[in-house]
Amino acid sequence: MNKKGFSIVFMIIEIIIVVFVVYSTISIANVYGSSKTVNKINLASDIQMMVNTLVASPADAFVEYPGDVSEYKIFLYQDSVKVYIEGDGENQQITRFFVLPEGYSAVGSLVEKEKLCLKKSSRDLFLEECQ
Amino acid sequence: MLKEKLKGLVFRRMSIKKTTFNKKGEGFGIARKSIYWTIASVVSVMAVIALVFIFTIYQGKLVYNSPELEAEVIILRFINNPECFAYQDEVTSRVYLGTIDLEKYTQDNLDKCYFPEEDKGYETYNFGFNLESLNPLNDEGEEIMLRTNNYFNYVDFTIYKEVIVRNGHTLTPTTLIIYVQEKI
Repeated sequence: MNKKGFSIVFMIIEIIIVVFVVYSTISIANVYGSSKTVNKINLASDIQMMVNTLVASPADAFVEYPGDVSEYKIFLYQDSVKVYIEGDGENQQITRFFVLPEGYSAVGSLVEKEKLCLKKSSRDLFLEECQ
Repeated sequence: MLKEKLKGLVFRRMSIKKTTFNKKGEGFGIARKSIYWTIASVVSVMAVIALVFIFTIYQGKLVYNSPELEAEVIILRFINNPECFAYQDEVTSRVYLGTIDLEKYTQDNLDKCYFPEEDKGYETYNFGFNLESLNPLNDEGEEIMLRTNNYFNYVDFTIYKEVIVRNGHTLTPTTLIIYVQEKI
């Protein structure tokens, strides 16, 4: 290959590297800087602690989450809570675990609804939309 | 035959030399660029990795919950829930928060109240309980400490709870010492 040919190849490589670096920097900053990721983690942790608090309550009770959760899909299982946004991959879904006493159950889901309520009725915990 | 092969090799080496560094030094610029871009690529990759590292630390700070708070929230069930250790009046069904019924203060009851998964339970909080001078006794008459199924005496911090212990009709104020083991 002559000098001109090499120059063109190098120029293409230079452009590709610069574009790659700029794209990765922006996409990484976007992923980490987005408040949605942080909110997702905080929401899952809050629900985890709400479950633990309700389990400690000797009577029936219900708690309304003080925030708008309409962007999230929330699923409560027997041993965990999962929070994610439409289009999230498996590794972007946030799961928090908890341990329920024997005989207790936890169930419920909330898909893109504004108000989240967690209700304890006897030994059953329900995650649902607030009435 | 061998001579021809050697000639061929020498010629090839010469032609490579010509492409990279000819008399005018035209190949030098290309070599310099390739060195520059090799270093620049390494530096860029390191910069991206550093960026990810910095953002991860920052995000970790934003979502941080103190382990003491998380443990405290879990511990509430032991002294407030009548299905754990909390005393409940049989007649009125009233639950006395912060009052431990000594009859309920057993390993069986603790296992019913908090039993993390057998194989992965060490990844969550585990507790050891010491109810000063009121612990259950073993067959040899020695006091034993109640512990959750994945507690391995690896104490990260200790929480002290002022409680009242009800033993029959006797009420004794004491301290419940809870040894907390975070994930191992």
